[in-house]
Amino acid sequence: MNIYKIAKKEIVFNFRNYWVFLSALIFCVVNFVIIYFGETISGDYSQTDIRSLSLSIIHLQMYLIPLLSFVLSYDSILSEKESGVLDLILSYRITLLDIFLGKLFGNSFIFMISFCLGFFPVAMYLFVLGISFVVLFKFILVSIWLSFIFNSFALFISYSSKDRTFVILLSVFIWLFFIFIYDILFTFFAIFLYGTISADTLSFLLFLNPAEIFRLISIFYFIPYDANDLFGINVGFLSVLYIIFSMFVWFMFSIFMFVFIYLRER
Amino acid sequence: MVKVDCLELKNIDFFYKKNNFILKNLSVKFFGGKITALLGINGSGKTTLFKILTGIYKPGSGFFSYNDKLISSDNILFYKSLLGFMPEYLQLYKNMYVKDVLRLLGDLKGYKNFDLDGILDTVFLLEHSNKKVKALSKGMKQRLNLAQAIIGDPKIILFDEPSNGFDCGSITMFYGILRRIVSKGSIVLLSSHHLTEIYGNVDKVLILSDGCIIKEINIDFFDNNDDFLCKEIFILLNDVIKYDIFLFLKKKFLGIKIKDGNILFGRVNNKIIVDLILEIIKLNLNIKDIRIENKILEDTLVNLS
Repeated sequence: MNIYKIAKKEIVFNFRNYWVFLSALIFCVVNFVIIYFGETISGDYSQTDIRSLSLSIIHLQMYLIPLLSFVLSYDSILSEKESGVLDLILSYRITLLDIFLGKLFGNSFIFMISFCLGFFPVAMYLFVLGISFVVLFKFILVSIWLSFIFNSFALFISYSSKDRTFVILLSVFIWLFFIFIYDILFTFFAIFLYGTISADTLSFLLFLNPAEIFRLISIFYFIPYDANDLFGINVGFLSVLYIIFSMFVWFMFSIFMFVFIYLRER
Repeated sequence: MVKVDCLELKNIDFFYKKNNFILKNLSVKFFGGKITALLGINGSGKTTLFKILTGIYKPGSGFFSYNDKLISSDNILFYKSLLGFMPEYLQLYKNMYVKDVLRLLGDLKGYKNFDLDGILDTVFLLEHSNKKVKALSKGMKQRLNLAQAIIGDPKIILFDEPSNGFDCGSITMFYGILRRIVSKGSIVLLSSHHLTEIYGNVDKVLILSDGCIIKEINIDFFDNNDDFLCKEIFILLNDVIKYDIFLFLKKKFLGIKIKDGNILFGRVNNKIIVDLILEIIKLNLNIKDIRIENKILEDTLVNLS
């Protein structure tokens, strides 16, 4: 019940401050810009290259969703710490875990609304181009999952310090790490350890990064014939169940991270 | 016999770093139906004690109990349901309307259908209920802070430096509300570093210094103790006083001094103040101005701390 109350509060606040509409607009505009320039570069407006368009859309979401999740949640707890509201709410019949989970579910819901609003016109355009409704629906579900994971990271960082500068820098670093640095490190190890480490281990390492899971699943959906080869590693053997299981593990990790903090603080 | 509620702290220790104690072996009892003031200079541990009493901090050692029931992590939520807390610093959601903020906080506190208008009226904010929080003055924001603390008629109510930002009228209103709360048997604890302000408004004073309660004083003590009744008086006369008249006054009223030839000043009790003024009138000296300051109570607090 308390989780619901906190979630409701977050939802009401974010609707009031127009975050939902602003981020929906960002999703919509940036996606259409990518689509427009993709077609301009190919020089052929009559026949869109679905493969490269899909990859662009997937990668754009991979950058935008974590980034906007951080923007939404990085000061969610920090600002309440600064204003004294967190201490006040903790003096009520509400636990720290209620606050964490309420904010996580509330912010994830807000993000879902924002993403659905912003991505709907894009999805309609992709549907017209021939991408099936089921594929688009699954892609939206995976995007919501990714935002949930990164919202939990952002809330964790937001709670970790009272220093706003530190929180912003750490958020930027975490975003960079999962989106760029992890890729670079992964590629480095894949080349450096080529022959000494099994392909299974390397493909398993992909699942340590939720953004990579998002990319892998999305490619599975949009361009299944490309999914056999990612980073030069054969990932075609990975079953849907394996992928769903890894998504579930990340989901549970996001929640248990807060349970752990709560138990430690208690 | 009616049982009085009691909140007891026993051997409470609290430290941020090892050997850097904020509270040291603190034991104290707070009773229902009484307003208790916790006095101490900045850094004496008042806010930390409040955070322990609100369940935000856990003491390093020791325990606290309510009506002989030990408060632990198992029943802390029940204890919190009896609690009202007004933090020292609180910036409520500035883009929300006053009535919406209070409704939201009431909901979070577990009171969905409380008398919103009644509470706003109590703190004189009813006419401002449709304003955004950011449009309120500092004193009004503090009154809103007070309003959330009294939602649900709490059995234990804690005010951390409540009068910061209050004007004279708000202070009178605040202590009026406190009297109403304690008349229902609630435990009221407030912290302050202004002895003068709480004098006459509370029933008991605890002086906290370096994490320990160094003195417990019932308010009657102030009334029966000449040292506490002393005030700083300044009497400005129209004309310069003749030296022999000053010697006469000095002999009769010990502690009286002279400045610039026409200002009599000193630390004296209430009776001497009256007698001195009467004597000046009797001597046909014209009084231009009288100023009485109650700073001695503050000095006493500093000395005790």
